Amino acid sequence: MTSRAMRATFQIVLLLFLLLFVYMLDFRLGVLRLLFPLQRELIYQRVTLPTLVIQHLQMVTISSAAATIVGLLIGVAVTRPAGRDFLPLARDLSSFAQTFPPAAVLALAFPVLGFGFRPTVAALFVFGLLPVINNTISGIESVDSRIVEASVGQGMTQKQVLFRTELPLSARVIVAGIRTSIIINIGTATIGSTIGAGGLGTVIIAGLVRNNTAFVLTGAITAAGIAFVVDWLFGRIETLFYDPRERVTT
Amino acid sequence: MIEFEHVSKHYGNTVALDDVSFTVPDGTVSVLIGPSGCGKSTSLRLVNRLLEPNDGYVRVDGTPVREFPPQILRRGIGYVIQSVGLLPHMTVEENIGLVPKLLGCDKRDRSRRAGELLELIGLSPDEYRNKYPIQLSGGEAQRVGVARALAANPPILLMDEPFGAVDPLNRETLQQEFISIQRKLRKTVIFVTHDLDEAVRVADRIVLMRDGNVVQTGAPEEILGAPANDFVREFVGSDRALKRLARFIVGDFMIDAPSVDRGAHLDWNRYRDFEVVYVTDDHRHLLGAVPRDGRAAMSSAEDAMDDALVGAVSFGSTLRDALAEILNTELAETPVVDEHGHLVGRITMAEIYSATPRRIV
Ligand SMILES: Nc1ncnc2c1ncn2[C@@H]1O[C@H](COP(=O)(O)OP(=O)(O)OP(=O)(O)O)[C@@H](O)[C@H]1O
Ligand SMILES: [Mg+2]
Repeated sequence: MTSRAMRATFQIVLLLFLLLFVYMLDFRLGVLRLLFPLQRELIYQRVTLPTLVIQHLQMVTISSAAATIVGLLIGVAVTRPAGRDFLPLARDLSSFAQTFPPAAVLALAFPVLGFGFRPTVAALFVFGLLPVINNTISGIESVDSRIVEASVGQGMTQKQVLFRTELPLSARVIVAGIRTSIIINIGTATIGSTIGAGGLGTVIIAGLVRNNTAFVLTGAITAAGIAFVVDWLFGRIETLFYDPRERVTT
Repeated sequence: MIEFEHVSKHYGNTVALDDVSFTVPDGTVSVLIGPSGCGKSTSLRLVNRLLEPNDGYVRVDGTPVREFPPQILRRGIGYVIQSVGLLPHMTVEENIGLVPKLLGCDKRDRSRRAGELLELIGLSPDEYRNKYPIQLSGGEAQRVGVARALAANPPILLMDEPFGAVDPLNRETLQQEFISIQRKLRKTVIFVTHDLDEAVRVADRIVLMRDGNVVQTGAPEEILGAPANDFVREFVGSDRALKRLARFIVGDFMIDAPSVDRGAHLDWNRYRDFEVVYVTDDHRHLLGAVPRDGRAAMSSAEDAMDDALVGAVSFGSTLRDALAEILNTELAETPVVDEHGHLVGRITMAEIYSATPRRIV
């Protein structure tokens, strides 16, 4: 079996496991019983796991979608001639902010934004913005200036240069930024439950409070599984775009 | 016609062009040449408004370029730059169709046009249409770059070291192709190069620059034959007389060549004035040469000839090639053949000298 086929098989098994774990109560019970034979309370009763997954995905989807759109706009704006002056500022700010641990972002966000779903989404949005801005800037900056000059020289308008040359040539790097942003947010969103946002963090915190490792693991496994699947999905999406190393779209 | 009229351009404190004036007549190739940093690329970019001059005018057909909207101007000017001008995420066909697409041509027309142009530049459309730039050799990529510049049939071409990244052998082929395409299309061309031999080959006029100034303009044979000052003399090199020979076509200088049929007996009394007699077959294909002091007593010309002496130049090549050929053989002259190998004439040192300017003849 080739390594590629092996990877594909592994991913399908993982996806199946995740679906069964979330949606088939008996399967989850079986797995957890195997891991924690002494634990009596294995299933979190207050909210069902599928509901927590949906809450979690809602937070991530809304925040990441907004981060992607706004991040792209900012990244594009500061690489235009008119916005160039703000380029160093945008780059420094996003590099600096990315060194913040995600938990610190939330800790800073909740005194300002309060408790619940909305402030968490807002904090995730801010944090998810950074990789998108960073990658949009470096993607567009890495497009060979002579190719841009050739495009301008052929008579493209600024908009055409952006959409026909710069974005297609940097799409892979930009998608990689969106991918990073979403993966980080899937993890960070679990911490969001500490300020009452719901999501998979709920069951993890319940586990920590009651000293129930099965609960903690339920949340952690599910979040990690979602992150894996999303990561794989975006890995596939990236290959749709021009690869500067191969210089050919596949 | 492209005119530079007292054009100056500076970048901050760097003066890139200082009061530059020259004219490129319609349908001719002007080559900008000079040391690195003398302002060649800057001049080119002023024509399609990638840059704006600080002073003076650049005119196209009498109208200052600043009066055209830049995109419209650029779509009417082919622009070829060194090596990486092709868009790497587009196929050859899409690259060639770029400007026609900007001009609103539909897909069928663009595809047909790409086919025509690939033919013109000597690449098979079926084979190359769908390739990506990375799949092309350097020479092929340059050809496609030229095709793209020609796609919308612009009257003007700007070429910035178009063959600079290609190895010398391929470069010469590309130059020959460019010359023959230009002979057909008669574009108004500004061509930038570092390579004097290239300039001499492709130029109708040379604009020799130094530190943002024009030092001398003129036909290559003028510049090589009469350098205006020491800088030019040094720039064109001590072998300028040799380089100049590359401007003259053998066909324009050759004289009649004495020949006998291979079956005939060679009677030197009939060729008293010649050092060499050439031997041909019934179709006038050149077979060899018989030098005067050769095996004259042989029965037929074919037996007498020395086929080690069959080197020849084609009538389309240059006097420089002819001189090289003369030096290659033991004879003091070289036969000239047409594209079918038929003997059409010969070049001796006298013809070479006749093209060389000298004070005392
Ligand atoms: N964008 C720029 N900013 C500042 N200085 C520049 C810029 N572009 C060119 N120059 C300077 O202007 C001068 C002319 O540059 P230009 O590119 O026209 O030279 P060139 O003759 O094309 O040289 P080369 O043969 O090396 O390509 C050089 O001194 C160069 O350093
Ligand atoms: Mg240059």
